[in-house]
Amino acid sequence: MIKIAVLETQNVNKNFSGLQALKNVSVTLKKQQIIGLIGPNGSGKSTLFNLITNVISQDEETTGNILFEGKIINDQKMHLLAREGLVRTFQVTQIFPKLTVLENMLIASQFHPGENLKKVLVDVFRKLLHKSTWEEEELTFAKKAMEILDFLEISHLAKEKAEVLSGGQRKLLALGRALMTSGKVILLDEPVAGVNPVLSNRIFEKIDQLRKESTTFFIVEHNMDVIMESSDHVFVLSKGEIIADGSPKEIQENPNVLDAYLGDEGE
Amino acid sequence: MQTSRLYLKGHRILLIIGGWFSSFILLTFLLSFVIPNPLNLTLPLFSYAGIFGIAALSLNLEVGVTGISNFGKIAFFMVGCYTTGLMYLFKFPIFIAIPIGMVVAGFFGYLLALPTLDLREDYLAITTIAVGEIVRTVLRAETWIAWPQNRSEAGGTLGLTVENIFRSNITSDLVLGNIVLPSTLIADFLFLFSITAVFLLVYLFVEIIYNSPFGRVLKSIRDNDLAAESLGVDIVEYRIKAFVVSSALAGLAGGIWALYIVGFSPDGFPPYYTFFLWIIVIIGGIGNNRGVIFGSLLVWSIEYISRTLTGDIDTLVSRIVGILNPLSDFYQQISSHIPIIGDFLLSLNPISFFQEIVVINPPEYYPQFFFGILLILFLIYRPKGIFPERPIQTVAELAVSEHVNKTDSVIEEADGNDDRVGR
Ligand SMILES: Nc1ncnc2c1ncn2[C@@H]1O[C@H](COP(=O)(O)OP(=O)(O)OP(=O)(O)O)[C@@H](O)[C@H]1O
Ligand SMILES: [Mg+2]
Repeated sequence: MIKIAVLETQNVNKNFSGLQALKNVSVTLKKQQIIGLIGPNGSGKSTLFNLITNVISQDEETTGNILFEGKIINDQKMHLLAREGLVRTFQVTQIFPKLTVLENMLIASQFHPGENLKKVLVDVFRKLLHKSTWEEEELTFAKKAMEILDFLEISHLAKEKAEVLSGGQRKLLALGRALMTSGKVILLDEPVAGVNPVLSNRIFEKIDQLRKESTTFFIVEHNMDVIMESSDHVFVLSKGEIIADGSPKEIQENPNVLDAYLGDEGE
Repeated sequence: MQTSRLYLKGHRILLIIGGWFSSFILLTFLLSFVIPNPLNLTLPLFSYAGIFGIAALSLNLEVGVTGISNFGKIAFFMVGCYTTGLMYLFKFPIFIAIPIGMVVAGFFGYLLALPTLDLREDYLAITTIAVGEIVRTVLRAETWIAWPQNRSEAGGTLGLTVENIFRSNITSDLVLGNIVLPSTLIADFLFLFSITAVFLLVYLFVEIIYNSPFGRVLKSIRDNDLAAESLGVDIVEYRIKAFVVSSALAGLAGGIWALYIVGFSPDGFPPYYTFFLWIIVIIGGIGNNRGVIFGSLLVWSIEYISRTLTGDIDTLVSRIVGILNPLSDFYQQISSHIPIIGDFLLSLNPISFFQEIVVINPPEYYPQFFFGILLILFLIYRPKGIFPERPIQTVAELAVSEHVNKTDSVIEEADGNDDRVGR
């Protein structure tokens, strides 16, 4: 079976006033795969995610292309990407502290009619006439959210403000929100950092299951065991360059990779 | 399903109406012991509180819900006030004049939103302060914005004079047996009822917005715009919508103000009023609409009652100083016996200092002084305000309670099994 590329970067570069964070990075994500992205601290993994989702823009002189489902998305705004199905989480967990956990999840629901002001106002009158309103979709989304929260073992906190969650729970919430969007490609930046190993294994099982259904995952993870076990393909970044890519087995046997992790001490 | 309970919240509206009018009666009653004609105080007081309450609700939509720090709120109020006033003078009926004021204020908000809403919060605050001042200055400088026209050589400084529609339409006193109700009293009562009705409608409107997924998105932008954007929220679009709706509501408040206050000029809209609205929102409860209603009443009570009661402050102060004078003399005698620094100490005489402060600060500043202290105390001890923000209520709650029931029954089953095993 030929799998098509859903997300691709072609020679993207990023220079932070002198520091070359990414140098001619090209990666290809095939549909329904789990792709790992590893590399030492500061090798540019998060920066690559930021470039793909346009949180920061590429260098002007040396612009490469970023393609999502075959379309160039170089300057596409992040929220439009999310709407089209390219979703991400952040390494530093981003939550809505004053919203409840359930509300956090519901923000991630896509194409919710109740998020349209006009619809909200019109539905006040429809409600009085006992016609259907956005509340139907709201309930459906809320049920879906509760299922995801249940899976992530934080459903008992649904009505708590997100600011009371612990660090690990916040990671889970951010992951839950990403799953809630039903995105086609989900970029996860260290999704299980600080999550207990049992739950983190179950999360990767879930990711594997979702992948089989239709989603593609691009995952930054420092836990080698987990990433090697679950990925179909792994890219290795070192000092802003892709130094190796291949199946987990190939990566584990590649001496360059070990060198990169040992860093300058090896020289 | 009990979904309709979550939507319109009729019981809460009744609670607010009850609270509003019972505090009106109570305050009038209490004041009747202090001043001869308490209605002269409470009628305008509650009318001001209602009008400013509308503006404060709209500020809350920006600041409390969407996280837009607008420090130029008075500009939108002023735009609504002037537009409605002019429309009225052009002989439009008020139910057209007021909506036009809202539309113009909303459009003004839209024009301002386009270039500014992606500014960082602090820059936005500075910009909005400037806009408030600019609008005031322009209205003062434009000679044609003055009515009656014969005053136009004074520029816009004299402002507009319109009519109190209730007072000019109700001219005959109402006689009920022995009691004679003066026409002005009836008119003022009717005006207060109308203001209250509009106020409640606006409250309902913002509550509907607040308790909807739309309101939830606004809150998410306030909490973390990066995260909101990453989940597909067009933050600029939502902020503009919130800003325009809120500006139109401020325009509504301004329009009612024009008809109530009758004569107004640019200098009647000092920046102080913007901060007044902020105080209402902060003390009442940022992000809580009921809190804002309460805050408006509280803050206006303090302002208006102290304004009235301190009318005679000079005699009061001179009486206090009269009592303290022997102390002052004593202080002077003592310090004149001290060598070298005696003269310096003399100049520090606390009693004359007190007297001077009172003299250079006219009584209308006392409430501001008090609000300053109140604000600091609130920000330290109760930053969430009297009524803290609460989570929005939608049918999503049903999913949670359903879920809880489900898991409960699973647990019960498991317990039951355990029991059987135990036996
Ligand atoms: N906004 C920025 N401004 C300046 N330098 C930056 C910025 N973001 C990242 N960098 C630099 O770019 C390099 C790559 O950072 P990046 O965050 O992508 O690393 P990473 O691979 O995600 O590391 P880690 O595993 O620690 O998360 C680092 O040297 C970092 O200092
Ligand atoms: Mg990183």
